[in-house]
Amino acid sequence: MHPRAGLAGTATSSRQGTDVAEHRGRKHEASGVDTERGTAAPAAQEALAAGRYREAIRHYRALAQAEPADRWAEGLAQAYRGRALELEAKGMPREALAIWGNRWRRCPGALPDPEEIRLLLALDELGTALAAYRELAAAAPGQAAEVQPRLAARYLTAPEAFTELPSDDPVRSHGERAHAALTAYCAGEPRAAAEPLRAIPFRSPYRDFATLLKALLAYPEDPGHSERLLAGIDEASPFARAAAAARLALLPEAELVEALGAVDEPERRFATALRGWSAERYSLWARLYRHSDEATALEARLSVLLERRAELGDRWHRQQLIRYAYHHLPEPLTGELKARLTAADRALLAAWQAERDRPDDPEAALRAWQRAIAALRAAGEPAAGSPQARRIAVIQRYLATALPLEHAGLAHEAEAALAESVALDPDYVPGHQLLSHHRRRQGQPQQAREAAEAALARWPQAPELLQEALEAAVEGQALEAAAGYAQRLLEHDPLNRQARTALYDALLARARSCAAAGEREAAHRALDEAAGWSGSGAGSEQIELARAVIDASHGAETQALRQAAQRHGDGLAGAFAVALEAERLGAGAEALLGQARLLPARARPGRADLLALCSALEQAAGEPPERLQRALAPLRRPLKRAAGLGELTLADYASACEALRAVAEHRLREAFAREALRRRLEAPLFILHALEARHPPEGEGRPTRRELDQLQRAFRSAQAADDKRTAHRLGTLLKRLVPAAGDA
Amino acid sequence: MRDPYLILGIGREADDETVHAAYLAAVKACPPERDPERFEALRQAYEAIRTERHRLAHECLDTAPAGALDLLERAAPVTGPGRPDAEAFRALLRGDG
Repeated sequence: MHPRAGLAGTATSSRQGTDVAEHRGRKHEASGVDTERGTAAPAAQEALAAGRYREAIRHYRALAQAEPADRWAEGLAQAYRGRALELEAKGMPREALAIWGNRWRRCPGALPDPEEIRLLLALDELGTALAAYRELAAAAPGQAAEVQPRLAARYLTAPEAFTELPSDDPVRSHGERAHAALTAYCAGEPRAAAEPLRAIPFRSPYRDFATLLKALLAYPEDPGHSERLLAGIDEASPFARAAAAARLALLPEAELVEALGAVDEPERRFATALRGWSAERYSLWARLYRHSDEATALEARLSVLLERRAELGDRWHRQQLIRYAYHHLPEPLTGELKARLTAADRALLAAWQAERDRPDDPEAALRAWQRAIAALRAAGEPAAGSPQARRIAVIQRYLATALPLEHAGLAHEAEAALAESVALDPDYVPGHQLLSHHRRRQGQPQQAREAAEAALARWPQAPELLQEALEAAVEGQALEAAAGYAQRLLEHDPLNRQARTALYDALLARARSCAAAGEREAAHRALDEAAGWSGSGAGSEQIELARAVIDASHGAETQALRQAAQRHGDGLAGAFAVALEAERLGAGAEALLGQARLLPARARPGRADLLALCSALEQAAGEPPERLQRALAPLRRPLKRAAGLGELTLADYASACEALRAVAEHRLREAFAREALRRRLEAPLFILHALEARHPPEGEGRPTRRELDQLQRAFRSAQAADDKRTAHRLGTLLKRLVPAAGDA
Repeated sequence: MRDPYLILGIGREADDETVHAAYLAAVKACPPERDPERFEALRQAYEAIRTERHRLAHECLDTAPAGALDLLERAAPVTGPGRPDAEAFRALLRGDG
């Protein structure tokens, strides 16, 4: 206890001569201190300057005993101050307070220190603190002002204790206004709080309090303003704790509940009161959030879940219970937990578990989900469109789209699920779309279009359904139907690229069909229409070529045809474009090429011409094989001549072989490969082309032993050269040919 | 908090319009530039339950259990902001621990 404590409440103070034990200092005083003034004085000053306060106290006390005490009082007071602060910093506030008491007793004339008053307040020695403050305020008002904010904070907790202060002391005079504002705020009267708050001057010990209360008055309407005001309160302020608690209340709820665990009870109470928490919520928070580890936290959540069924709502309670069971509870569930769930809940839980526990067995998951659906149907078949029907439809769509049923050979089950989802939830457009899409993926474009059509009957303008129907029609080569869907789509979405392409393709196909049927005028009309949707230069060139072929095949001048051919490349490439289009239009390719003098002369075609043709062949690879064969027939002779071109590089031969492979021109491909092998013996890539062309998959000839040996060598050679692609292709060819060799 | 209904502050019987209105109100009160995380949570909650079929899918297919905050919100919801009483103030100003 501070010796001044006995004087608290009086206006004057009296220093006592009685010592309070100074820790371990006394024994040193008697024996170790040099009492000679000549050495003690510098030693005391040196110890004080070096922060060796205990030593400084010993020296100064020895000096004070030998000479008039007041001569050394200042140094001794400083030494006591340093020691007191040192002890407080070490977490020994009571010991520090004893030192402040010794200072007061042994240093006549030393004024109370603001730090001493701060410590007295911290230790709840309010009376003593006020006595010290009065003494300090009377003698050194400037220093007293330092401690006024701390006294101001205490004034607000117990104004009746401050009656001894002069009425003009700001702690008291401003305090009355601050207290009135606080009382009004706590009573829920913000306007009444604002008025006395305005009367508090800027330079007041209550300045931080005024800021704090303004921030609280702005909460929650203007949290940004509150935050800015609170940020202006310094951490050293006696109102900083309240400000920190108020800042907590500005956090989002998810952050608040976590942050509350890191602060002490008064701050927690303050913040949660601001947020409007009930006592019930506060105690529930303590149950749910104050845990040392995840296991106990989980236990707490589960116990709250089980106990609070009424507040949580039965449905939510059950939904959460199966989720806790799924993630956290051992299986099987205990009888009590199981009894809380319905059969449908348990079936749903089992379906989740099946999917989780057997991720590689989609059939097991499917069966478990089907049992869950059966449980939902236990009370009777739900009417289409009812919530229960839609619930089942949601699950069916999930089964078909999320489980890898197709890869598990259960595509039919997926389709059945989607078909049922459409039946149960017929108003859901994406359900119809999913069914059509699934059928397309299964290679059933006609059935896909039927599903889309059925939905389009209800929603004729639904773009997603039109798109689906368009894709199904294109895939099924129903180009006229595709054109119809495309036109409907383009009415709403004129920039739909896929619809424009589909329409162009459909009109071009119509033109070719008309031309093949001898309806030249109709073919031209279709080409005119197609020109409007071509969208690219290549599309326009194709239309011009078709137009020229139609006209030429009907006896018109062939100049236009030659020009159109030229746009597709001189020589072989142009001739091939005309030949292919002629075959598409039902006109004889060979005759037309002859009529237009487009067949190359006897001379060998050039390298550029050959490479342009290779490129055209690769692009035409998707055409029907018979059509390609007929289109290529007039070009075989010049092509064979081209194989011997001296200017061709091995890369050119490789390109030619690949292009001829794409259009199944086996003989020509072999010819090019053999020519390449003449230039580089045993090159694995050309051995591959030569032998694969000689023994195509559909061919009946068997490889000779020599050919197989050659293949083996090429395979090893490709592997050694790290040519993985060629090695892989050779390996595949070997696998195909070796059984045949074995038979031989 | 995981429960989208609680995030949007609506009951489980809410229809499409209610969900939409709650989302718009929440976004208006907490625009993305003020609190991007909160906005993202609102957006995800809205996406999870914006239509009846989304709500049914959430009920049948979303296995995420409620967190502590969900339980807290559902068992003891906050009705509105409050204010600390004088004693709460005094405890902080006295330096009670």
